[in-house]
Amino acid sequence: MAVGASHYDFDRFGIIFRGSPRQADCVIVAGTVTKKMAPVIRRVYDQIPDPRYVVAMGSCACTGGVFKTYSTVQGCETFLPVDVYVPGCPPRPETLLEGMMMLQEKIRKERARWSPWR
Amino acid sequence: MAVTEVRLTLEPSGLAPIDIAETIKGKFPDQVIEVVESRDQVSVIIKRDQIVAILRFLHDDPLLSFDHLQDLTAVDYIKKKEIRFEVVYNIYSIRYRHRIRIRAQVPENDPKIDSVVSVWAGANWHERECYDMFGINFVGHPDLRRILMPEDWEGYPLRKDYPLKGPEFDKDWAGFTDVVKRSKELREFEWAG
Repeated sequence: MAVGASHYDFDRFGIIFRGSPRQADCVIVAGTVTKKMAPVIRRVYDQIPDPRYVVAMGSCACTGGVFKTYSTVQGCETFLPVDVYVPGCPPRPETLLEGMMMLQEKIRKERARWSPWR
Repeated sequence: MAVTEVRLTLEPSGLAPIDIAETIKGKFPDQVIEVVESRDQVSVIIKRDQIVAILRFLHDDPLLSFDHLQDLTAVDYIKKKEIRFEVVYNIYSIRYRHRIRIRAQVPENDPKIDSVVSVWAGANWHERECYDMFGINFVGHPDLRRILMPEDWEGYPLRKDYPLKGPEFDKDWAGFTDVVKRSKELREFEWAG
């Protein structure tokens, strides 16, 4: 929330929150992922058009964190291709900002292919 | 005294929890097993058979008037007590500002107890959670389904003999293993940039 608001301001870096996965390029998994929630997150991801990226935000989304229990997914990379891991519990706003800028750097290094078949 | 006059009384009753426990004991002498006092908190351990009658009495009696069910949960006393489960009712009187804890014993081989939704409607989701986590059946509950775990989950996670880290992956909940397997199949179609 802090990163989106005016103190840190995602908009300065061209990152704008969208209301629908169909308009998005990137999904930030923020918080603990439970097994019950995993199919829902996968469905949201499947709705994003290519090219698409995933940022795992926080210890819980990266590894499951302290919750090594029956109901918690041990890191969302078990069912999503994660591009950037943002550690911290919770991460500082600067950390998330840095993570998103690393993702931008990664995108900048890509070959200009917009799909596997072109 | 007319009922309306009783309702207007908002003074604390002055009843100590131990007095309330004695009242229950006097009214249902064959149901009360034990009264436990610890740090000014009193628990009344009872048999499960008359649970609705006892709680209905506590709720309806004009001098007790336990109009608020603060919490309803269960405790698993595996290997510690002879009777494995206890369903715990923390009840409070908003009108008289007194409280008491009722604990009903539920054995492992027949884990069921009568539902108290008819006394406090708020017990509905508490009993569903209790069923979800401990596998205690609340007889007469209007809609006894799992509330937190997926509806086709196997096992009751808060029982002490349930493995902390959950089942092995191939025995895990099908909804989760399916999404993991599907994401592995789809991985070759991911765009690598």
